[in-house]
Amino acid sequence: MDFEQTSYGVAAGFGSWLIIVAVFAAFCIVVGLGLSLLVAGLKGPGMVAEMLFRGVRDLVTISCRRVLAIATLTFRECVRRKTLWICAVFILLIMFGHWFLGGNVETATIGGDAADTAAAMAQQREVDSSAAKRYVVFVMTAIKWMLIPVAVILSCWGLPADIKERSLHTVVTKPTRRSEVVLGRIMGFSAVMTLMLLAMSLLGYVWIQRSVPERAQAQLIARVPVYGTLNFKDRNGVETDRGINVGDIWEFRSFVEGMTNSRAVYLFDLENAPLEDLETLRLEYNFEAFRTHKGVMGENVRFSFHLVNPATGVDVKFPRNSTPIFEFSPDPEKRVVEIPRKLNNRNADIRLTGVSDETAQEAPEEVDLFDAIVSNRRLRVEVACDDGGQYLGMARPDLFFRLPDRSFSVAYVKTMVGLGLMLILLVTLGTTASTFVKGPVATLLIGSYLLTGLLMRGLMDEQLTRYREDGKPLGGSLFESVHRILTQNNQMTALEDSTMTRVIQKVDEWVLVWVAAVRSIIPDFRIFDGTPYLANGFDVPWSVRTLPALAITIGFLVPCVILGTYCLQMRELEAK
Amino acid sequence: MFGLLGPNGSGKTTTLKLLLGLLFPSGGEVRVLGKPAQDVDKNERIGYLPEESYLYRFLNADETLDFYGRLFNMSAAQRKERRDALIERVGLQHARRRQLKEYSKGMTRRIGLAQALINDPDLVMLDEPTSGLDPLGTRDMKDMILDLKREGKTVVMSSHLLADVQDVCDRIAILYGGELKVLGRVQDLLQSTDETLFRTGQLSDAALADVKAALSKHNVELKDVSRPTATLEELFLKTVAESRERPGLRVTGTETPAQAGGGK
Repeated sequence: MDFEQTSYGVAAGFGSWLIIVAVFAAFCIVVGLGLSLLVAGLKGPGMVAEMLFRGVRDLVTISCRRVLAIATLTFRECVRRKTLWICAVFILLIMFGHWFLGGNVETATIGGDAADTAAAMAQQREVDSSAAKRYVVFVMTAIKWMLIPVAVILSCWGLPADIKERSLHTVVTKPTRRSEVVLGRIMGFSAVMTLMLLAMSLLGYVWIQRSVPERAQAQLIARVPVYGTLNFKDRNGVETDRGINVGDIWEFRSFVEGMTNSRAVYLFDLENAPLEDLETLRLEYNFEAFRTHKGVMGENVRFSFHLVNPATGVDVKFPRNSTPIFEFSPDPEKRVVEIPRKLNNRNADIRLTGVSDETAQEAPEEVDLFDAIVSNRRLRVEVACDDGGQYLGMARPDLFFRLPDRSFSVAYVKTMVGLGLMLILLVTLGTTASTFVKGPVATLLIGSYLLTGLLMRGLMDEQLTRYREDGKPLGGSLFESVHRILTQNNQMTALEDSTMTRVIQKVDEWVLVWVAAVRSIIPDFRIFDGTPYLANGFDVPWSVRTLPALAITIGFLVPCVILGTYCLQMRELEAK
Repeated sequence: MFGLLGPNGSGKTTTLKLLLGLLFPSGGEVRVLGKPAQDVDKNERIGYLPEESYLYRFLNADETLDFYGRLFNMSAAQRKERRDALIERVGLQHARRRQLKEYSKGMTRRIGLAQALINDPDLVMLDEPTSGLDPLGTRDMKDMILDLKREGKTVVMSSHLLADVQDVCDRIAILYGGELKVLGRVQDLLQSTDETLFRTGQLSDAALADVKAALSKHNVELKDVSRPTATLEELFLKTVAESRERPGLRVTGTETPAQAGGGK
């Protein structure tokens, strides 16, 4: 789950898309010209030009009625071949899913002695607190992995079966363009997948609402987080990029030292937050404690927030007597601190920084959080650890400002829209593949494509973005990595300056170009899957995930229809 | 009416598929109605009945014709009018709501012909239109093809059933091994120039002797005198027609049940 919520830039995305499509088209034309010269000699380029012209004419004279006719035919075919029965399988699955997801702690234990009962009830509370997540993940996983294979198989086998049974002969001997066949098939399969998704998501929604235990119903929400930037202050109060490293190899979190001036400084941009409507400021945290001594048994490490306005020097400590962290509780509501808009000396400790203790009484007795603390619609929150000798670890996503929660159903719909777009993309890719290879090959092709987009995309991103200070890829690429493994050199070790090293690094440069090229034509399927956000109770703005998902889908649909048109046009449908 | 004749594998279907753009020529150029075979616009004026009726078996007759009508960009009203007319023409009113997978071979060929005619084409290409049909179905199909001829449409049909082609075609081409061997009008190609055929009513022995004498007088050799026999097709069609009119009739002709095999 990526907490970075960057809105998708349509103009920038469109620019990159144009470049990729242009390069890909140029590559195809060059390869086509080369092959035509080999096969047909000097007549070849003329044939390629004629084919290109015919394809363009095919594309610009598309008839909506014909496309809809083929789409309707495809839809009818799927319905009459009982594809929709997959929904019945889903119903069976959720009918019995409750057996495995209930998570009831044995009632016999609850009926035992007082200590056992208390422990069992605590355990039950813990189980319940993650129930919503379990049910949501179950429904989403079931829907996703039932529909993805169906989308791939339907789209990869539809057109080849039509060609094999020669039904397509009666279609293409009418004034039907190849582009209309491709587009109609894509639309028909997409409609079938959408219908199944709608049915399953509706069933899934009702099932979640009815099955999640009442105690956990409150977790079916969509939190709207506002993340800030993170800096640190060292024990002397001097600002720094990072906190203390407590020796953890995973450097995700930096730590602040208890009972010193060390603090984590979060700066929230509240430009788009409706502050005027808020009576409280809700901060949710997920800090990690690092203990250098046992502390007080049974008590958590304590911390406090300092709401600071650097312009006026107002520093409000909240809560006045600090608060324990609930670092292992799966219930996020336990980690929410509600700060009232009106802060006074009863609920907070208000001070003016930079003034001595003698003049502390000059600090105001009451401040309005949004008027006195928020400056230029920016809120500065400093986190201090209030237990001496203990440390508190924080990363950027560990503290966020919670805007009013949205309805779970809205987040659910967004997740389903993402999944629907993914299915449409798979249908598009599958149909395109089926215009040039047979069903089994197309299935394997799209299956590999999907797995690469889901599992390898991160690796590719890392390969292309992790650079050393000298501008070279960290640890090299394919061949340098193998070389380093065989010679037992780690990523940071400088390799011996030899001809072999130079050759390996040169070859790796080309490997990286190839990786970049492949990456640009493999969609990032992860962006379509909003399950982690939904399951963890987060809302994601439309512009952050749905819009890029839509852009990717359309971005692939257009070139795929063009590619499919040409592939089908070049194919002798009658050829065995 | 143009017939493409030839034994299996002679290239009849391949020729049609080249004309329709389903296959690409390895050399030369194919033009149909003045346009290249690859140009889909030519299909506006063409109707095609494939060798097997490769239709969508999950559709019924109405849906099938509606679908193909849409491919010609016809409006809903046009499609309905055309659909009703064609279903009546091919005699499938009773089965218009049944899915094609339930159709017999003859019914499938009928709906196949109907889809080929959905656009009221100028040129109709029929690939083995009578293959696999029973004599009754063959007769019906030939009648429907002759109707097309009467409507002034150009029909190109391929077949290896010589009698069918002879019955309906004006011109034929005979292919063998992918090469054109004969091309011309059926009448011209079949007419014998060195023999004369008389067809008369029943002749008495005296009349027959007179005819022979007259021929002998002109030095004409009389090669054969016989009573004409009906074709098996004619007998079959007559039997079926009679059976429709008289459902109880079990055996026709002069053979008794005992002679036919024990009277069972």
